[in-house]
Amino acid sequence: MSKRPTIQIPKELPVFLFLMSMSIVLTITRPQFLNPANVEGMGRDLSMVGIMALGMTAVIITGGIDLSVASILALSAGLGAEAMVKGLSVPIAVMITLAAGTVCGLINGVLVTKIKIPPIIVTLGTMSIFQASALYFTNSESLGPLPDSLGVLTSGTNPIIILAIITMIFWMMFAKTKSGRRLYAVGGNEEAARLSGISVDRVKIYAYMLAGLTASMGGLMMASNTLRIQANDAMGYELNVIAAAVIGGVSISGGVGSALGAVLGGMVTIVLRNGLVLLQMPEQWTNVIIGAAIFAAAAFDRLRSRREDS
Amino acid sequence: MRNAVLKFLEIKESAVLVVFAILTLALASQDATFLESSELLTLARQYAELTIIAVGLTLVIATGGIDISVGSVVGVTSITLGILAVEKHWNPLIATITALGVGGIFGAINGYAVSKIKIQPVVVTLATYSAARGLAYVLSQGRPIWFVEKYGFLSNPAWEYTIPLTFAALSLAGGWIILNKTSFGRALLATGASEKAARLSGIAVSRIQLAAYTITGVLAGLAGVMTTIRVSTSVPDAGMGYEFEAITAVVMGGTSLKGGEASVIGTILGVATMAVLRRGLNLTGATEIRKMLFLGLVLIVAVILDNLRKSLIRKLRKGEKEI
Repeated sequence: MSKRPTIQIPKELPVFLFLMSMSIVLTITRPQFLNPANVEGMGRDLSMVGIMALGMTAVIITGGIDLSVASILALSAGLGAEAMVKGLSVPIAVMITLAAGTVCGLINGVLVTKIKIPPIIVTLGTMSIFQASALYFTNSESLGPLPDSLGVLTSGTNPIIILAIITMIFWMMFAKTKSGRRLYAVGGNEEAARLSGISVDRVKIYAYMLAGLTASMGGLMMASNTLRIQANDAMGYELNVIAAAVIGGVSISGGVGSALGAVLGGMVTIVLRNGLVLLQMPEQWTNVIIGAAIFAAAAFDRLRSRREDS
Repeated sequence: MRNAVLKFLEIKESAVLVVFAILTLALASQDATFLESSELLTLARQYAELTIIAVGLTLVIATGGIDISVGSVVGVTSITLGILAVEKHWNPLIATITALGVGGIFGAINGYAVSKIKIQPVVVTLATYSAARGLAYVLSQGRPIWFVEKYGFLSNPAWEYTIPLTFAALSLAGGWIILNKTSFGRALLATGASEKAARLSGIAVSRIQLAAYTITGVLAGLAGVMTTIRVSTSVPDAGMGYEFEAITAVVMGGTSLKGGEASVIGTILGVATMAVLRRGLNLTGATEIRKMLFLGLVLIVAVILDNLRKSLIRKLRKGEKEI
């Protein structure tokens, strides 16, 4: 009996092709797309959503979700900004921000694993609690101007370099380390993972801490961009992050996802947004297009899984 | 004694009932006027839209799904009504039915994607959440539409209390009947408990799912119409945040997100709890910050209590076996 050769199409190929075709079309119709200023602007936005999508991907791989990332961003960046405004050095403030984000992630992880509440509910609740805390600690004020040295994060090509480094770290973690493999194991089949000796709780808490950490990094990028930050600035941003992750091929049921996918998904959302601006379409079309993109990505993914099953 | 406690705990809604009772007593002790019928009526009216949406969500969550697009559907149906009734001078009844239809279309899109394309509900409804809201803005160009004249039955004074409260009561009754007395309701719960088993036992799972999401879409449309008439304005922002509140109310009420276990009574208790909580917070002059904090906390507390209830049941039952 002859065996049909199976061709392994990398999961990220469809997204990549979509991204390329979009970019080519845009370049042809609106050459300003490739302007250094435009590219740098996209780079800044991409660094924010891309870094956060990496952490979100880790959580979704384990079969969970985190709706509170925008609030974690607000709280951690808010604390950092307060520190800076009160005279603490930028490096110390950055540490405070990253620590705060990680702690928020820890809280999410503990609530999900130890108190056994579904992730969507936990993070729906903590979304409110963290946002309320952010408003409280910053007195609902707009904090700034922040020290110039913070701006280095988003100047020139730095944001892309930072994103690239963090992406590589996540890629190595997902693909080459035990912790990474455990993320996929837990997401793929939790019972099997538990039976094979993996501490499922610890893996999940790790994932949520990553999401919190990357959310605080996103906050730093946002604060660095305008050197000003206010607690409500990122409201609703969690949807951009989840959209990026989903478009990038992560599966909500868990067990599937990649660092490259997360960043490509982020790129799709950024290019889409930028494209709408360049085509001078009203900004409000963005949400419609992003919604359609999420739908298309998910449908395409299902189509592919079905074909593989047959 | 133990049997009485067990009987109480086995009531799905006991956790939310306790929370509701405590909050109501606390509020009533601080503000006696709260229990006056006029006050209660006003409060009920304020939460009529949320009630209707929460009933729809109860059905969807019963199948093991979820719908985070309801708030956005409220917005887009509000704008639809405004554009058709006010700007295009359509017959108000036809405009209203069209608005409800728009809600139904979004619901059907959700339902189709979940049942036929088999995309995860949270992803689908995330997409429609985004698209519906965007559409609301695009159609209205970001501007509100004021209902400056009389628009037929839409300007009937009965819309102030009677009609919304009637709709809320009807949805609650309808939801309860569906879930507890019809084969459709049993099919919903069976689908939520185990899609595979439901399919094997002959249930048309796809059709059930499609129905659940479409109903929710229409109910969200109804809420959109009601919201619009309440403020005599169509706003693209209408309904923002409703999905959060509705899911909170449903989950608080004991309906399980995994599916297969749902309670309309629990849902109305959940809505009532949130109403009382907000009223109490307003009374104490709580800042937006504190309200946000409490809403998040109450959700988590309610779910913890429900988990506690379930583990207490297990412990008490184990004691029974030992006898």
